[in-house]
Amino acid sequence: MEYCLQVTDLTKQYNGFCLDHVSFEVKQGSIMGFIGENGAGKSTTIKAILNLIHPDHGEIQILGEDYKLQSRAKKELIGVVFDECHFHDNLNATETGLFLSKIYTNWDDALFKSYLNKFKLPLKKSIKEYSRGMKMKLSIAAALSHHPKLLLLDEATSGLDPVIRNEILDVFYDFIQDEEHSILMSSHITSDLEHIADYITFIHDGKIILTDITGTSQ
Amino acid sequence: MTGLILKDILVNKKYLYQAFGIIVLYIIIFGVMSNNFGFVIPFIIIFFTMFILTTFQSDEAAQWEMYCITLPTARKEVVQAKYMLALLLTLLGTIITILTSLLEAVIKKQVPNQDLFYLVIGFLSSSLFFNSIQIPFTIKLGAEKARYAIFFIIFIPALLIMALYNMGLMNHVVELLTTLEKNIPLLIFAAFLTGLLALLISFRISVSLFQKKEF
Repeated sequence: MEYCLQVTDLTKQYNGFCLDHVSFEVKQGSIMGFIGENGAGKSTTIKAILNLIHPDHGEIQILGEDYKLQSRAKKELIGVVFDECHFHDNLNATETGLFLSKIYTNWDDALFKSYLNKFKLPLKKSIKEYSRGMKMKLSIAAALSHHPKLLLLDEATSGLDPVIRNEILDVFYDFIQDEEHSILMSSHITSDLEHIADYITFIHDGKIILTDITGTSQ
Repeated sequence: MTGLILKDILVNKKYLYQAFGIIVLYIIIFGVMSNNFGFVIPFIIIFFTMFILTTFQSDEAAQWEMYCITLPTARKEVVQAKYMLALLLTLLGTIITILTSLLEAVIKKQVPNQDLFYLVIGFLSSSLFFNSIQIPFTIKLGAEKARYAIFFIIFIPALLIMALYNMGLMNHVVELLTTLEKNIPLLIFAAFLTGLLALLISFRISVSLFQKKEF
């Protein structure tokens, strides 16, 4: 499979904003940085890819399957990290891993615990007591612990301090060492994408302006 | 689906423990000490029927649904999990209602009769009906607005009926019900089967609403 993600002519009309025939592709084994200013359409595009919104027009192929007809097996291979942690505040890391292990057939509890250890996340502390950086690390640990092939990151590093951002970018860099792994990472922080992305797609006001090689990946 | 049900139980376990504690306290204070089990049993019914709304509230607070759709669970499965949990809670509430009624019978040195059976079926029926309304409304409107909508749909008509009865304008209905009283078993079973049917229809509506939802 050459491309793990193909978006073609994606269109979604809202009052005052339009995602206008967005097209781009993510090559297998690469990191695509998806950059644009606030309100450019990055999150809307990622939500469309994840079937969280219903586009007016367009096609999306993820890991070789139409996104609307995705099999459970293919959904298992996608890891998602949003800009906010969506785990309930009164859960702890252990409980989060417990119910996720019943949802993902590929769930690797040993790997999850190793990420918690690496990120120094306490097992029994409530998520409401976590800092923003800790919540993001927990989301990333959860996204990586079911052996995904494709990571979709929607502003996963925004609001974090530079130390934690670099720590998280290093995790993504380790993930991409396997040539079967790919990342689509949306951000408005250009320095993060300069650090890690192989390609950049620039979106502005709902339209793709350019897709290019960064030439600065490690 | 197991993972989603487990998630709801883990998220709300503190609330469940507190509620169980209150139920036991009510049984002791109002049931055993004051011999007023008639107050305890409706509380049990209401708690177990309304608990599913609490799970929706918790999900909204975490914006969980948006993340849940990205997991390897179909949208239909997310709705199935809520209905399954509602049924499990109804079953648990039924068991506790039976045990409380048996305790009442022991305290009053009575032999449990068919009234207990009718009470149980009545509880099941009312729970099925209530869930068949509250779940799709919650999916459509969110937990907060759904509470108001449910209040208007269920309690306002109930209050109206009470007012009409007090004004003596329900005499024909009362006569009809008195006639039907002779067929209580038939009525109770009809209510139960209608409750099941309502829940099935409600499930299909909820799936349709959730399929169309955008985040």
